[in-house]
Amino acid sequence: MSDCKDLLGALAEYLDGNEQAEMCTELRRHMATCEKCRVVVDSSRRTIELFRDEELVAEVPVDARDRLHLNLKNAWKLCRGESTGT
Amino acid sequence: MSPRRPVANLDRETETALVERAKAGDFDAFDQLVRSCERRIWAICWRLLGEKEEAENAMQSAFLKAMEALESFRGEAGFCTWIGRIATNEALEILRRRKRREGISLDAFATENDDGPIPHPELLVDWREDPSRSIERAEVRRILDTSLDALSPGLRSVFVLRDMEGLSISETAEQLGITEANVKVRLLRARLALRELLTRAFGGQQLVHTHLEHAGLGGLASAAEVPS
Repeated sequence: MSDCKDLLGALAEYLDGNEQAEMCTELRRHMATCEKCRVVVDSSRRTIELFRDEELVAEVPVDARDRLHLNLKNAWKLCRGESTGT
Repeated sequence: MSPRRPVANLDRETETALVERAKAGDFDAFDQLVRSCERRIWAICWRLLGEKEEAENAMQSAFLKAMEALESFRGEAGFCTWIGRIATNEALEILRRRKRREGISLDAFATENDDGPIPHPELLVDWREDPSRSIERAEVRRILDTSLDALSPGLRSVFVLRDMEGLSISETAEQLGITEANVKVRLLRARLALRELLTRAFGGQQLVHTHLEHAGLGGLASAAEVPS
């Protein structure tokens, strides 16, 4: 990877965790000297990390959660004909 | 109406015990299982659909179907993973119906232009420190939701299934009814598009609009085919 043109192909492999693949080794070597590619790779990786962060997942809206539990309780009674406790 | 807060992730042993109690007819046990996964299930539905009423419908359908199919749950995967698959199917079906309503295509996921050039990365600037430390969490959440909402359903669904739900490339392809090569191309498009949007939000002071041609990257687009 003498220049940046192979970056995107290698980036896909790199972000998918195939870091041992030969092209990724080359990508790492290339990043050591190319600041722009390093920035693209780093910000792409951090983009995925943010979306995976459970703390950053939207909470269920309170009204939707209340309706969910009420409907499940009613459906349970209908389907199973058994007590739902409280 | 629902005073109990959602519970944290359950350990496997507790989950197994709750499943057994639920199968034996104990609603409270089932309700605890639901509470342990509801946030994850909401995230799937909300992020795939981006619309509150539709997301709520998908979430409700998923849990109701799980209730009906409880006897068939064997516990090979975790309870939340199992319902996650059901919720994904529900949300994707709603997306397909939405597309059909709009008269765009019979298949919401076959309309992407996968053959066009992949856009160049444009914003080449380091992010500030970890955004979740320097910006209010609610604001980061809003930025993530808005960014995801800017993607087409085809790109969004691939990103949510692969990068957020952790499905493999082949599982994602099977779930969406597209080829693995298409999954890879769309995944790259989605990641790069989100990277641009988040860099606008989280980039440092010296935000510069830079095309890669400046760095000798002409021809990058044609070199962007993802190896299959």
